[in-house]
Amino acid sequence: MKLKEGKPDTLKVADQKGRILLGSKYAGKRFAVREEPDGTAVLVPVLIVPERDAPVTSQRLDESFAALEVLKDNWDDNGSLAPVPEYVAYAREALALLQAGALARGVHWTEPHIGSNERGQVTLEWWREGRALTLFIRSGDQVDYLKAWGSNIASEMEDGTVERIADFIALSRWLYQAEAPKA
Amino acid sequence: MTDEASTIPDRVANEETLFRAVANDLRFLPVDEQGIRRISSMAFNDVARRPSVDRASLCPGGAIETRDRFRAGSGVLSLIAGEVRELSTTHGSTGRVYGVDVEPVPLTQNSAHAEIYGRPPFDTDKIFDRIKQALSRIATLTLSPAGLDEFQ
Repeated sequence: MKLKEGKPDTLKVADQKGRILLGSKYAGKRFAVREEPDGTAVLVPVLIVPERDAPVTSQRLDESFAALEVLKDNWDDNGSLAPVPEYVAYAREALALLQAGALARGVHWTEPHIGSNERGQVTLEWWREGRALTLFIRSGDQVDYLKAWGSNIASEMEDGTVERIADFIALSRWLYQAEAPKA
Repeated sequence: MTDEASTIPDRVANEETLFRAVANDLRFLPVDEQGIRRISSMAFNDVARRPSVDRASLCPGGAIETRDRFRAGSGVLSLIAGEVRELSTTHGSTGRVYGVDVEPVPLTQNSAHAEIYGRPPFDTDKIFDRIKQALSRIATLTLSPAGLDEFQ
């Protein structure tokens, strides 16, 4: 085992249990071991992205959206249409991307409350004290948001479109910022 | 017009309480990550963008009467008519002002029935999204759906 691009005088030797002592300059860092065809093993520095208890997996996404997929027209007795299958599929992709984007940027991530509105569009809702953030998956290529920090529709709400991961990151930061609710 | 119908006020007074039934389904009353039970804006879904409510003053049996007209185990939210009317919005691009109101829409089987509506009508998703968000914020839970813990 050797350090990639290491000079001979930095060669580290593993003990009988495969352990090597790298020294304090590598404290807290993580490495992946890549075995080369010639039998050598290279330590490659890696960045560990913190994952919560429920990492993004196909199975977990299936579980999250399963409840929506069984709803029929008038599921709420208020005439709401059943969630549109293509919107549900797009919401799965969007949710996976948003979670990965949040984790990669070190932004707080919480599972949203997944629902549907009267037109069969998928909604993702988050709350934090007096703030609420709702994403609306309105079609295969349109995700809108609504920020609310009060019930005044004119002065305490803002809506718009999420076009990039960075848009969602900004919304998340707004949701979880520590100050009193504001725009 | 029957005697009974003629005694029903044709305008919903600001001080009137309104009942809104919600199905016995956790998705309408989720718990956030801080353990606080919330009222989802989905509780005001309505395909005609005119959420139905019952006028409490015409429900001698109270919120239970509204619950029993809906689905078994349902919950009931409460709103104050005057607070509903205080909701208003201006469309960002057109500058159009949307008023929110409540009007009696008595049904054969339910003389207490009323509807929350827009003047002019809520004609876009975004306007109605805001209205539903506001309604969910001014509503309180009066009767918990069966199986849900006491509202916090």
